Amino acid sequence: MDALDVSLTRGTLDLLILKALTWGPRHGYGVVEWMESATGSAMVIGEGTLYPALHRLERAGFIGAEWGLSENNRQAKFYRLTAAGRRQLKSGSTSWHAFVEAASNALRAGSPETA
Amino acid sequence: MTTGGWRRAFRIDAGRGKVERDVNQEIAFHLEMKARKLVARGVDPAVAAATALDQFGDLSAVRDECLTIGAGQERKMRWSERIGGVMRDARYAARTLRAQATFTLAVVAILAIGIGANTSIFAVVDALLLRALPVPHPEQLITIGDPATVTDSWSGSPRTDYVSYPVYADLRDRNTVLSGLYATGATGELNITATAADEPQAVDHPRGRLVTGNYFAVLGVPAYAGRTFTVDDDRAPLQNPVAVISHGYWQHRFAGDHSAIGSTFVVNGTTFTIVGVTPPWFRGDIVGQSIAVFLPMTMQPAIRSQRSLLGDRSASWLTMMGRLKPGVSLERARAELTTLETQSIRANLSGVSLMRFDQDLARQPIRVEAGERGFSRERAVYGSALVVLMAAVGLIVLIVCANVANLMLARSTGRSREVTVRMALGAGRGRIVQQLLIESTMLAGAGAALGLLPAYWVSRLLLLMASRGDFPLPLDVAPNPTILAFTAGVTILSVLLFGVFPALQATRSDVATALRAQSRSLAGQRGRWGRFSAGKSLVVAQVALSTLLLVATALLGRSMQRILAVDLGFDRDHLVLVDVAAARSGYDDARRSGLLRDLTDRLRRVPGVTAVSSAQQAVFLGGESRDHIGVPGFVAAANSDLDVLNDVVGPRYFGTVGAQLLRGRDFEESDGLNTARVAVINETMAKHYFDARDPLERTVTLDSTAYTIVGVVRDLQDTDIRARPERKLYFSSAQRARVPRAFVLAVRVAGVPSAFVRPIHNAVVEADPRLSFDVNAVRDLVRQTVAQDVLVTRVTTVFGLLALGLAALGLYGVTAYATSQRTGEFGLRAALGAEPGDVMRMILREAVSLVMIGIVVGVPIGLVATRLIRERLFGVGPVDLPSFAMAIGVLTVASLVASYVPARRASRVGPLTALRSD
Repeated sequence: MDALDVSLTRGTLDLLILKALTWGPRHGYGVVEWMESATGSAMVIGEGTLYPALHRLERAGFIGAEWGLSENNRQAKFYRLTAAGRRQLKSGSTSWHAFVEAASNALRAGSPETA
Repeated sequence: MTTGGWRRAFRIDAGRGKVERDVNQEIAFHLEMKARKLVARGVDPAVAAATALDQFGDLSAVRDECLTIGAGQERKMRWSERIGGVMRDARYAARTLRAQATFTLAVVAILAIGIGANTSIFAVVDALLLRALPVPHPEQLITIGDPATVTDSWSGSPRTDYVSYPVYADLRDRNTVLSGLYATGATGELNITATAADEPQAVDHPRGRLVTGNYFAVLGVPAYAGRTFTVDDDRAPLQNPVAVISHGYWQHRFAGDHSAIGSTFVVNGTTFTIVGVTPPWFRGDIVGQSIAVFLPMTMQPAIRSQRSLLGDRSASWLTMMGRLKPGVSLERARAELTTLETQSIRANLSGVSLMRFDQDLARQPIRVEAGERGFSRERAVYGSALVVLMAAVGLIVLIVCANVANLMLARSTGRSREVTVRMALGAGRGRIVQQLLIESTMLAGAGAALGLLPAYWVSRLLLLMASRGDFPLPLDVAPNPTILAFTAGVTILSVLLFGVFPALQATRSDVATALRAQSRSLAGQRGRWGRFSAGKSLVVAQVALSTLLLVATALLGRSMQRILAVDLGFDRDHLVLVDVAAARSGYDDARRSGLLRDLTDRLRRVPGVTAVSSAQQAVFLGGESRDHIGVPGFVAAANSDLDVLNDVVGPRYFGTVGAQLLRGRDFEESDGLNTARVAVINETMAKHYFDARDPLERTVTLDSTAYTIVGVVRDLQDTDIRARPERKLYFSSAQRARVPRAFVLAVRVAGVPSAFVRPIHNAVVEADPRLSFDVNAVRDLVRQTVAQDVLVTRVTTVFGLLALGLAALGLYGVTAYATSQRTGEFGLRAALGAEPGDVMRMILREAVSLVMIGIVVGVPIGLVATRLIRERLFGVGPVDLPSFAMAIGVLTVASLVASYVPARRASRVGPLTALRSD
C-alpha cells in the first residue's frame, strides 16, 4: 500500500501517541514501532515531529516520563499515560471519529446537492 | 525509584545541563535502535548509522525544540517545587507549633504585646505628626505665622505669629506667589439654638471657626450637600449670615436631614442660614480639633468681641494658609510674603512702637512653612512626647524579640536531634533555616494580627489621656495603609531579630557533638555551653534595656511628683476659679459691676467658701497682659526693660489665693476710685527695679498716672510651672472705672476643691442661667498644662513595668533551663554533702550576677539616653541617684523572685534523682 500522502495534523499525532501508551510505558522508538505496525505500515512518523510532540505532551501533563533500562540494557526514556492523558485520549478519539465520518460522507457525495 | 526520582527527592537542582543531556541521550537511543534494526536486515553498521541519522530529519532543529520545551518545563517544575516546599514547610511548622501549644501561645502573646504597642503609638504619631490634610495637592499649601497658635488673640502691638485682618488683606491683595490666601480665627464659645417654636431650647456648643470666603476654594474642599462659601460671602461686614456645617455636626444635630440645608439657626444671638455641608472626611485645617461650624469672617462682630476687628490693626487673631502657584518654590514665597507682611505692619507704626517691632522681628522672624499637615496646637504640645514614646516602645520591641529569641533557642535545643539527623541525611542548612524562618514568620504574623486588634482601642486610650476633657482628641487612628505598612515592617524586623539567630544556631555544623548524648553528661560541656551563653547574653541584653526603661520611668515619676507638689506661690490645693464671659453674655459696662457684686456675694454664701476675690487674668487660665511702665529713678538698659506683666485684681486677692505678702499689704475695700492709686508688685519686679531698697511708698507710672507701691508679693507661678517668674504688677480693680469684659472669680474653699465645683456652678447659675462661664479647680488647671508630661510619664511607666515583667520572664526561663540541664551536677553535689541552701544560694548568685552584668551594661546607656529627656524633667537632673537606685533595686528584687522557683527546685534534687535522670 502506498504511504498516505496526507500529513498528519498535530492533534492526530498526539492522539496516536496517547493510544500507543495505552497498554503500558514505551520509549520514543517503541511508539514509532507501534504506530507503524498498528497502521499496517501505511503511516511513517517522522522523528522530527515525534519527539517535540512527546515533550509537549509531557509538559501538558498528559504523559509522564521516567528513565529506565530498555530491552537491550540501554538507558532509555520511557513515557506512560497519566489519568489526564487517558481522559484526553477518550474524548479526543470520539471527536476524531465524528470528524472523520462527517468528512467521509462529504467526500463520497455523488452530487452537489445533499440527499 | 528511578534516578530522576532520587534527585528530586533530595532537591538537587537539575539545571539546564541536565535537560540537554537527557534530550541528547534520548535521541541517541532512538538512532541506535534504528541502526540496529537496519543491521538486523543485513545493512552494514556504518551505513546503517548514517542512514538512521539521515532519516531522522533535522537533528539540531528537533533537539533545540525539545530543549526549549524541556527547559520551560524544568523552570515550571522548579518554581512549583519551591512553592510546594514553602507550603510544606508552612504546614509542618503549623503542626509543630500546634503540638507545642504553650510555647506558641506564649510567643504569640509576647509578640502581640510588642507589635501591638508599637502600632498603637505609631497610629497616633501618624495621625498627629505625619499625615497630610485630606485635600487635593496638600504639598502646595503653606502656612504663614505659627501653626500652633490657632486660638490665641492679642490686643496691642501687632504680632507676626498670628495677625490682624488688615495685614491679611494686604498680603492677600499684594502677593504674586499664591493662587489663594485665606485666614481663619477663633470664634470663642458658640451658643447655638434652634428657633423652631416647638423644639426644646437646647443650647449647643459646637466648635466653630471664622473663615474668609475663599477658605474652601483654596483648600479644594467641595460641598457634600448645598454649597460652601464663596468670596461673595465675605465682602461686607455683617451682610452674610450664612453658615457651612461639618458632616459630623449635620448628622449629630440634624440627623442628616437634607431639609436642614437652607434652614436657619441662631448663633450667639444672630440668625444664620445653613447653606451647605462639608464632606465626611473633612474636619477643618486644624489637626486635633474638629470644626463643626464655619462662619464667614465678616460676621465676626456678631460672633465675638462685640466690635468689628476687621479694620483694627491692633487686634491680632488670625492664622493664614495659602496655596503656592505652580512652579513657585517655598523659598521664593517666603521671601516675598515676609517682605510684604513686614511692610504692611511697619507702614502703620512709628516711633517707639516701630522700633520695638523691629527688635521683636529681629528676634523672631516671620515664619512661612509647608502647610501640608495643617495647623495644630496639639502637635506642638505632644510632638516631642510622642517621639519619646516611640523610642520607648521601640525598646519594648527589642526586649520582646530578645525574649522570644531566648524561647526559640531553648526550644531548638530540644529539637536538635531532629535537626542534626535531617542535616546528616543531606538536607541543606539553607533548607532547614528556611523552615525555621517560616515558623518564625508564622509566629510573628500571628502576633501582629493579634496585636492589631486592640491597637485601635489603645490608640484611642492614648488620645483620651492626651485630651483635656472627657472626649479623646478627634484624630483618626483607624488602620490605614501607612499604619499597616509600618506594622508589617516591624513584624519583618522582629522575625529578623528573633528568628535568624536561633535558626543559625540550631543548624550549626558541629553535628558530631550534638549527636553525642548531649546535656546529660558532665563532659561535652562545650557544645551546650555555646548554646547556653547565647541565652545568657540575651537575658543580659534584656536586663540592660529594661534598666534603661526603668530609669526613665523613675526619673519621669519623680519629676511628675515634683511638678505636682511644687510651690507655685499660692495655695493651689484650696482654690477654685470661675471664668465669666460677661460681655459675651450680654452684660454691658454698666451692668457688669452689678454682676460682679452679685456673684461675689452669692459665692461667699456657699458653705465651705472662706474667701472670694476677683481678677482679670488670675492664674493658669492662659490669659496674659503686658504694660509698658515708667519707674522714676530707674535707668532702663533697653526698652523692654520697662515691660511688665499685669493683672487687675479685687480686694484681698492675695489673701484669697493664698499668696504670701513679703512686705506691705494686700488690696483692701478701702482702695477705691477716690483714694490714691495703689499697686502691688512681685518679688522679681522689686529686685529688678529696686534692688535691695524698700519698694514701699515708691511709685511707678502708667499712662501718666502714678501708682504707689503698697505691697510686695512672693512670685506667683501663674502660667507655666517650668517658666521663670517675670516682673508682674497688680492693680486694684476697685480703682478702675470699668469692670473688664471678662473676669475671673477666685474662690478659696476649705476642703477638697473638686467637691466645690458643683455647688459653685449652681450658685452662678442661680444668678443668671444664661451666663457663659467655666468653673475649674486650680489643681486641674495646673495638671492640664502638664498634660503631655502626664501622658509620657504614665505610658513610660506602663512600658517600664512591661519591660520588667519581660526581663523577669526571660531570666526565669534561662535559669529554669540551665538548672534542668544540670540536674546531674546538683545530684552529685548533694551526694557529696552539699546542703539544699548551698545549691539555692549558688543558683541565686548566678542569676543575680547575670542581672548585675545587665545593669552594668544598661546604666551607662541610661546615662546617655536620659539626656534626651532632660528638658522634660522637672526638679531632677538626668543623673538622679535615687532614680537609678530605684531602678536597680527593683530589677534586683524582680530577678531574685524570678530565679527563686528554679533555684528551689534545684536545691531539692537528691543524689538518686540525678542518677535516675541520667
